[in-house]
Amino acid sequence: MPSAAPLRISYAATAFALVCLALAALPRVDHLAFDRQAILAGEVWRLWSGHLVHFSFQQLFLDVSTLLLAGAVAEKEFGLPFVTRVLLFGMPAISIGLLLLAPELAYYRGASSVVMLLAFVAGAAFWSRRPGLRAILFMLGLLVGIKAVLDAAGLASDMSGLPAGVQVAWQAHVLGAGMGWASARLKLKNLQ
Amino acid sequence: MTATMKKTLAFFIVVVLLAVAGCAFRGSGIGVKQVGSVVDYLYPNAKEPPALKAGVTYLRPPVRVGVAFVPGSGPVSVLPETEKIKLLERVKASFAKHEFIGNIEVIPTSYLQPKGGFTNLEQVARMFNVEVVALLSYDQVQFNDTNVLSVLYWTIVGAYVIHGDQYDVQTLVDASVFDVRTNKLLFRAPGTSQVKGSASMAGFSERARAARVEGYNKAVDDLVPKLQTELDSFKERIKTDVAFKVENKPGYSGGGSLDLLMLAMVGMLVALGYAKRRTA
Repeated sequence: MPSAAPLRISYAATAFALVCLALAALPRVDHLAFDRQAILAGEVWRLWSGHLVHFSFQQLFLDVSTLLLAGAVAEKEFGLPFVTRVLLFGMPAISIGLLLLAPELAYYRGASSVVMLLAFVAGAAFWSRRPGLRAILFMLGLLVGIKAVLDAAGLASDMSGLPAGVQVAWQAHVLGAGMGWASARLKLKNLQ
Repeated sequence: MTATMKKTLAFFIVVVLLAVAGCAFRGSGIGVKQVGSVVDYLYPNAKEPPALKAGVTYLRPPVRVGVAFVPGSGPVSVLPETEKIKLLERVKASFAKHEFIGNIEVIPTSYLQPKGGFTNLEQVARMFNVEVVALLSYDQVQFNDTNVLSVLYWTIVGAYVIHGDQYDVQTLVDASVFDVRTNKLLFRAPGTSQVKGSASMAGFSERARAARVEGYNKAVDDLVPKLQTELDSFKERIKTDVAFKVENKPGYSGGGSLDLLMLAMVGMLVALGYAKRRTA
């Protein structure tokens, strides 16, 4: 059941954000990024670490700040253990999804798919527990969908903080959103 | 025994000894030489310096790379095709570690025509769908010598047990990486080895053949780290060299990045969370 306590920081998201910030201080993070060839060659840690490293500080700032907000709602609705599990299992699940469904994506860095995961966990909770908000939630989901289509068409805003030549990995966002929605719905079903 | 018989016997013994000594004789000097030259392959019968295609070399990661041994000049290759494929697989592994390299195809030598030039290289590159080709040229010389123990070969048994023959196999393997479209040499790296050993006359051929294969293996051992270093230095060089330009293929490199719109949307979710608490 949702807590009646005021919204507070998410421990899981904060820990995730701190790891991202710590890794940003490293001079090189190539060995941590999602790299299709390297993963297929056995470097499985990249399934997790690819979501923790970023191309730029602007990308890091946007991802981490959104993550903290989405994590706060998700943790308030479902609690720390569930959000921790979602993060630990969601990261490799998204990476494996990219390996299977986006063969053209060879290299990836960023936490945005994890943000989408948590945002859709939060959204699914509201959808189920606050039917009155469904119209707004539907509009938000539609906006996310339109954004994904624009990203896929290469029309993403240039405020994403990605260096030249790097495109927004909309496939990761879609996977994160889908997994977040599915895991939250499953959890809600189990709670009922 | 009559004098004539003694003379006949002595003559027979001399003839046999000479024959045995003849059997045991092995000439010193160069035994086997194998050459596969990238210049002979790409610029056959060239009398003038090759003209380079002017312009910028575009590299579009993930670059599709082919690796191949250039065809040898001799009719018979010392290195069997299976051994060549094994060596090429090791070179392939050294390329595979890099994020900007996509598919790597091992191209059997039989697909390359001796003295085929860039025309043949372009045909093969199209066939294997690669943009860059790493050509491995080689130069292997085997020197044969005899040592003092070889004198015991005349005992015949000695030819089977005494290691009176020596070999010295010197190998150079050179990897030259070419951009197929512009025919430009991107970078190169050499690997060398020396394998020495000895064998009995009877086992020399087999031992020497194994040494030649070992020579190639050791040369590739030496080549791979140098190729890595050259590749890393090439990566740095293209950042400043105006003759090269890196353009990513669509969708190659993705960033999990959000923008202010997404931040605002998640902010709205948080606001809904507060509204929920107030109305709960």
